[in-house]
Amino acid sequence: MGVKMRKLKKQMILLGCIGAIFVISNMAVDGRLLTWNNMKIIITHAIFPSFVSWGMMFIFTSGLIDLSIGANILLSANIGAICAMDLGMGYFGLIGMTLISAVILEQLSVNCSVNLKIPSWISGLGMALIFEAILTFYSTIRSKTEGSSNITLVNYREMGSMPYMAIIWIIGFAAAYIIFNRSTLGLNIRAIGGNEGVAKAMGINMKKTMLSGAVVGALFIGMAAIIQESYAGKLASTSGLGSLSTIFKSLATVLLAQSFERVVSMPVGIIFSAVFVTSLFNVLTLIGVPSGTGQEMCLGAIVILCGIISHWRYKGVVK
Amino acid sequence: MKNFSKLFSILLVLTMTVLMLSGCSGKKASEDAQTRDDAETTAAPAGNQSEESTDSDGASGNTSGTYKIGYNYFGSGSYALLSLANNSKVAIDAFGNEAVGMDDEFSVEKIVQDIENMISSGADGLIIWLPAESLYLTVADICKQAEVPFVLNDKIPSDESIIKELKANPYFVGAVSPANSVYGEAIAQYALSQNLKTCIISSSGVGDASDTPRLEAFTKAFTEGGGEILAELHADAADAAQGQLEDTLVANPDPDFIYGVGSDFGIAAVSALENAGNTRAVVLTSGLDKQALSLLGNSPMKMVNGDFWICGMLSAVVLQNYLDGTPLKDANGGPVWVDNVMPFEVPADKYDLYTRFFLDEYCYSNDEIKQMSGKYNPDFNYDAFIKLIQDQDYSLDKRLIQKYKESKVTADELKAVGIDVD
Amino acid sequence: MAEEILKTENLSKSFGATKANKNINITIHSGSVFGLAGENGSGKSTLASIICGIQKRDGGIIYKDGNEYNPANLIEANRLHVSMVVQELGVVGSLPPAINMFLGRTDEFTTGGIVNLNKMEEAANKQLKKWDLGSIPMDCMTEELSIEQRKILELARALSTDPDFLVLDEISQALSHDRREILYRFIKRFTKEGKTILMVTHDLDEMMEICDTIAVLRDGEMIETKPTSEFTINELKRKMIGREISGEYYRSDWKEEYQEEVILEVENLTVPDQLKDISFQLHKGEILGVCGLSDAGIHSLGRALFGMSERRTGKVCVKTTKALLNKPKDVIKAGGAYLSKDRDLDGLMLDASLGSNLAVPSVSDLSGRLGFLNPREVKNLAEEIKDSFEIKATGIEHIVKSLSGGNRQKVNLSRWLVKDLKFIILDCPTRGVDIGVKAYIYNILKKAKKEGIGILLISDELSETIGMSDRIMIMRDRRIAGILSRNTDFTEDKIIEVML
Repeated sequence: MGVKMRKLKKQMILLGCIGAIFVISNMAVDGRLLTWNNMKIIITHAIFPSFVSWGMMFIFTSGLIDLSIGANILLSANIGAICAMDLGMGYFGLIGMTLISAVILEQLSVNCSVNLKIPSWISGLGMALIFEAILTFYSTIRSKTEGSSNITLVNYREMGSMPYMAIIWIIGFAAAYIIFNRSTLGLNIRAIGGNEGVAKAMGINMKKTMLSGAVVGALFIGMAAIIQESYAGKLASTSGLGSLSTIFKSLATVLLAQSFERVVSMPVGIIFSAVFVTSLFNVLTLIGVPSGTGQEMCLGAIVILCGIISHWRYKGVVK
Repeated sequence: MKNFSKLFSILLVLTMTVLMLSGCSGKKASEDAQTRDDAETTAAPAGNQSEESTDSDGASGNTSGTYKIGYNYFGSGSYALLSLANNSKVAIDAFGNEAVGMDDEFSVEKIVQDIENMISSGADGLIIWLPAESLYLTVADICKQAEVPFVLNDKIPSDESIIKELKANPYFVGAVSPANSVYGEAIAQYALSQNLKTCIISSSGVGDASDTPRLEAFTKAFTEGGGEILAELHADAADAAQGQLEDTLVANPDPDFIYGVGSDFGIAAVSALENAGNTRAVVLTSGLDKQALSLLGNSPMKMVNGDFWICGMLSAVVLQNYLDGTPLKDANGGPVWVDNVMPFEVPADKYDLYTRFFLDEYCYSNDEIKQMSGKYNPDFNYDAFIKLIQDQDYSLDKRLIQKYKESKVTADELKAVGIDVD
Repeated sequence: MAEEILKTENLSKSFGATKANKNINITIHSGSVFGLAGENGSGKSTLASIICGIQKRDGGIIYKDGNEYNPANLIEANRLHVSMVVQELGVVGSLPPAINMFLGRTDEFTTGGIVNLNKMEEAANKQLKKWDLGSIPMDCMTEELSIEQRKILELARALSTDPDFLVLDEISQALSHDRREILYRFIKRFTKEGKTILMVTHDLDEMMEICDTIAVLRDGEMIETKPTSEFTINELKRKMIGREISGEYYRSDWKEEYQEEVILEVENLTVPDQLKDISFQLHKGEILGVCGLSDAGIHSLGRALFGMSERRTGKVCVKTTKALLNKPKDVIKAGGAYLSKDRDLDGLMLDASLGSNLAVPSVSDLSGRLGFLNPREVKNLAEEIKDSFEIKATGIEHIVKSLSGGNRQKVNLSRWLVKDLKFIILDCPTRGVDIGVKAYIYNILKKAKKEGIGILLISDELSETIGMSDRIMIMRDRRIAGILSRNTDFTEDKIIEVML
């Protein structure tokens, strides 16, 4: 059997397994899972983690584990909302300023690691604290003067509703797929992540590639911020690295997608994983598993299970 | 070189250990000296500055009559927590004091650390927000060791033995907390009175100190009144709550109402109902968030209640009186113990006035706040303080009447919202 | 006489206190194969790296085609038509082969910002076909290719830059017999076109056969440069080592000699797509050689025996105790050990110290009842191994990554041999090591044989298996094609006949 056929077979098995899980789950919840309305809800919930995960993919693949992404989302979403609402900049403010903020914040974080030679997860945590502090400062002032700690996006919320979200999702997927698999930047990022020494020897400008990857990643993160701000109306500030919880589902999505990387490429895997993770929460809610405890426990168990399945026949230590 | 590195590492570890161990002690020698100095030099009541007082029954303070007051807040992002802290700060500022605020970053363990840091920074008194039963005596002990008076704000222990020990602590000035359970009960009673029988609850993380008593009281009152709770949801953030609610509305598509235990969750519930196309269910919530209030009348949001987190201000008043040498003490000479600051409702028609007099400006003026100290107002004492709370002087209606007296609002405006001042 | 293509004058390079190259002067003519011989650590790879722009020289001048040549990096060297297949560089496993071949130059296949992968695959296949390098699957990730395929891919990558001067650093060591033939054919064709090859290899027979000129380096200094025809193999060895190689190299006897007792018994060992129905016995004190063409499955055998293969069926057991060996843990417990072909990837902790690497297999023996290790015992063991196996390092704190290839292999082998072994599976134990270390390893194997250790010697070098084995198990199409005895059948022709 050729390599292509073997891969196709694996992909079919993966699709079959996901399909089977959906059918069984649907039976378990008396047919409430696979309804048009519920699938719409699942897709709606999968869009935010998908965009965050695509962003992470471009940043993490080159070896930068940036944990300030959650804080970046919160801060840039609030900046966008302020520009849109308070400064009257409308959609231009919401989209433009959120994206610009996301890129600037991500560049600060990544540059801190690349130029100061600090491990990326350390600089990421440091920057997360700084971003959180900036938003907290703003929240504190706003809570005194505006009667609410964070700005609410009252208008300009179409990007957080169907069908616009789905359209943006499809465009986002196409962009992520093409850039990651079919662009020089994407291939160079993957080369750096795969073998830094070879990438360097082949004349790839490491720093430029990593920073460019972070720009692309930040654009996806910025889109995630816009979508979530539009969907939820407001994103509250946090402190003490509470922003990490914003990206927990996305981290789980990336982890799952990485587990299936041998079967499907990352951008596709992220779609599957995001839908899978959000479906999991949906099914657990339909079953009646308590949120906050039982659901998170199940997610943890499923993530571990997927890790085990994806490396079922791999002997050795999985890093 | 290698040996030097090892030696350096060992020295570093030793230094760190010594520093940490010294941090475990009650206070540093310099602080001891400073405290002694303070005790010797500061007069007790500002109005009675000739009487120097070093005993705990009196007060510390300083010769200038202004103080450094420390207050902590659990975390930012939540309008409720920030408002509580802001209210303390408003009162601290009104008395002309210096405020030191500490963010606990949503970590109960960090509260103790923050209290120690505030003491180290030379705070004359502390307004403490502490949601952990097990830590009250620890914190009380720290304050006693440091000889810093403290007041409990918003959260109080329920264990009788802890309360007894607290009251026996000479540096415990008092406690002011809302009737959290009343919030939940009020919502339950309102729902039952409107014949709303089935509900979904959306709340913050499991075990949240503010939401849990409300939730428990609501559940008890609502179920005993014949209501049915279809689902109880917990989320760390409001945007996550919206997703949870949408999922839950698939499982329970026809609830009578959603109870958002905090206002953020109420707002999320409105969005979730809109996305689900549910036009029948209504939303009830606690917490006077401007956004939640703005939804009254033009969305499924039907009721919002809260006390404007006034405990933050009232606890600062209790501490100020102690520092000014006019401590508020009950008939038995015991410290203030208030656990029933009642909520008030903000109906849709009073939203504009609420915004005007509670948000655009503070519900109490600086002068009014100053009058809550025995130093400036000899008539202000324990009984006056309790009466203020019992009369719900802080409620929207009472404040509006006061604003009318100050000619800030007309009788017609008040009449339009059902308040007759003629 | 052909034109000078490359010339160095007083080329020098130091790494700290170590002088890797001292005033190297060489002249290479176009259309020739120039061999660089020397022990591990003699400075061959450094010299090659400087020529290709991977390392910066400290002093001296290089001329190419009569002009001063000073490439800033490999890409600039490529532009000046110099390319290299590097000993340790490798490929990006998580990218497809075609992308690896054109990495850093993907813009050539980009239209409107999108890389045309089909066009790239076509170009990659064309490159392989152009130089008759055999085929490589393109529809997979490079990590799924065998080591040999990866090396060929690296060669094709180097050739894709259209070099007229190609450096091959230890490439043949990774190749099996048949792929070496492909390489040799390529070298002939390449030089026939007037292009030049600088070849670094430890296989002296190969060097003598292929190279037109040989330069011998020792301790960073150029010892001698002259036409191959003027060298004898013994002289070459002597010049490299700086002394006569003491004792014998391979075994001098031609007798199949081992004890009756069977240590390892293998029955119907099968791994899908890798091995089919392998059955044999390994005796006490026996060296059982295993050889075959590429894809014959010889390297899969080592992994399968050690319990590292997926979906393995059949039986591998210790004959006397009947203990089944299904996992690496079972093998180690039964007194077995395994050295993989890819020592850096599978064998060593490159970023760890020499001491840690040496002590790892013995940790369970050294740990006390509560599982704690006595640092002094660990240190003593590591120092003992380092001294007795003559590992050249500054001390046991030396990071393994900075050891030469030969010393790394000594680390890999020695740490197992100090244990009370019953059998050992060696996959290409002399890959990438110089003649001196090679001789040393052979001596160790002879000693181990005497001590009754059963040795399964998997090798791509026929001379090695012939020189060392009691029996040779020849594999073809993932099966055993035949087992030959040292007593009668050990000729290269006979082995190749069975291989094919």
